[in-house]
Amino acid sequence: MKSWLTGLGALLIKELRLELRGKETVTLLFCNAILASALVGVGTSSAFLDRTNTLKIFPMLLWTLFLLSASASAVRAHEQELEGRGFEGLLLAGATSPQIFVSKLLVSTALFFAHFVVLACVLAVALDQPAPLSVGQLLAAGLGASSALAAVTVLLSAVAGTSRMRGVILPLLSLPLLFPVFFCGTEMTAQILIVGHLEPGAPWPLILLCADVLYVALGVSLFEFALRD
Amino acid sequence: MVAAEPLIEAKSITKSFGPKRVLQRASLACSAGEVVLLLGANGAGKSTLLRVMAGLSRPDGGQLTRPRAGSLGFLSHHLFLYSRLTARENLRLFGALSGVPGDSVAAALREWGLADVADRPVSELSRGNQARVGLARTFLNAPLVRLLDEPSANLDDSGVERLQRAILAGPRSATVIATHDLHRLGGLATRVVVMSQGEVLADSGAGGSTAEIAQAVRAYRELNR
Repeated sequence: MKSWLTGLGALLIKELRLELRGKETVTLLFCNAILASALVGVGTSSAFLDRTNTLKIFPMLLWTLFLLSASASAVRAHEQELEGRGFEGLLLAGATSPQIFVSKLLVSTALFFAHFVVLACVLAVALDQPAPLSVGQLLAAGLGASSALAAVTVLLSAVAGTSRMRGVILPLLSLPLLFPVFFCGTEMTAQILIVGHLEPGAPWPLILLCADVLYVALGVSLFEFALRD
Repeated sequence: MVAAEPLIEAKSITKSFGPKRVLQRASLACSAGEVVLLLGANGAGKSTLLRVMAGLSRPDGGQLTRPRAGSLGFLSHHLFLYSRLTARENLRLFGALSGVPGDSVAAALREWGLADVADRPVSELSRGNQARVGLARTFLNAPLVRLLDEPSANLDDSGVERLQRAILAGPRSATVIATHDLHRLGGLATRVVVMSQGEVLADSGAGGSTAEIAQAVRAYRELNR
């Protein structure tokens, strides 16, 4: 177990270093967040929606923009592995597929979660919306969705990684799998913003948790088949 | 004399890419102390056989016996390095995964003549130095089995000398070298295997005499005419 964690630590450092050197995914995610929010802000202001009506469409806009821009940006996740076929070196050095998957999952979750926070803030400013009362609940929903999104995109970016059409294939494959995440996120955000908190007994957090567990379990068990030919 | 148990063995391996059959019942075994030179024209199936033996490519048929992951060093045309990481960061990463202590990484960088460029990203190194980092990665954890595909490519004479020293430094290791560089690596061979069109065409045999090795080399040269 100790050597497994040591290996995971080394892989996490590698993922962070690669991301910090290139900053491609971070830049793409944050630029998408700002540009999309600005476009939506201009679009809704020309539709003459009042603040109350804008609040009603805010959750749907937030989660649509989040899932679309994050899944489109995630194509970079596997490209650095393919450049020098570094992942094969990892396997030869004794790293296991679940270790590689978990390291990518953790770093991608952190990136997507940061993207979610930036997008929620910029979109709220663009649509002139107040900060929610239950910030913690909204952040928890964002974190749960980020981890499900990361599990799906890390797995599928390895599957689609060798295709020249990976930029198209990855969003096409991942978005249908993310429908449950979209519905849960939208419903939870609507309750948090309109009611002020999540209603007790609402099924959405549980569904999001189940999606998380399912996608992470699928990723851990199938990642090896995506890595080896 | 009883032949030593092979450390790695591929038996009747077949492999196709689409309709093209690349390996046709190819067999190769390598025991401790052996340095097998795998010769063959381009497209003979040498690289594919080594990838299969390294466990990076699934064969369509045949049997494979190989040591556990972490005990096998493989160098291929791809260097299995992260081009944005420095030479030192790459070796630390692969070392940490195979349980190699940090001071061994520094020693490996010195051994391969990389101390001066250790903190530069691999993408900024010359081809020759990139090849040295690839070799340093391959030999870092003193693997039991070394599979080397064109290991002298892009290396200058000093690099080849270091490569020869590294190969000879593991007398209990099994080494398979796929190469066309008979001039610089031929002297290391204890056995020569020649492949053609996915099959093993000639094999000087384990513990083969100099005459048998020379005969296998002649078979290779005949093929290349």
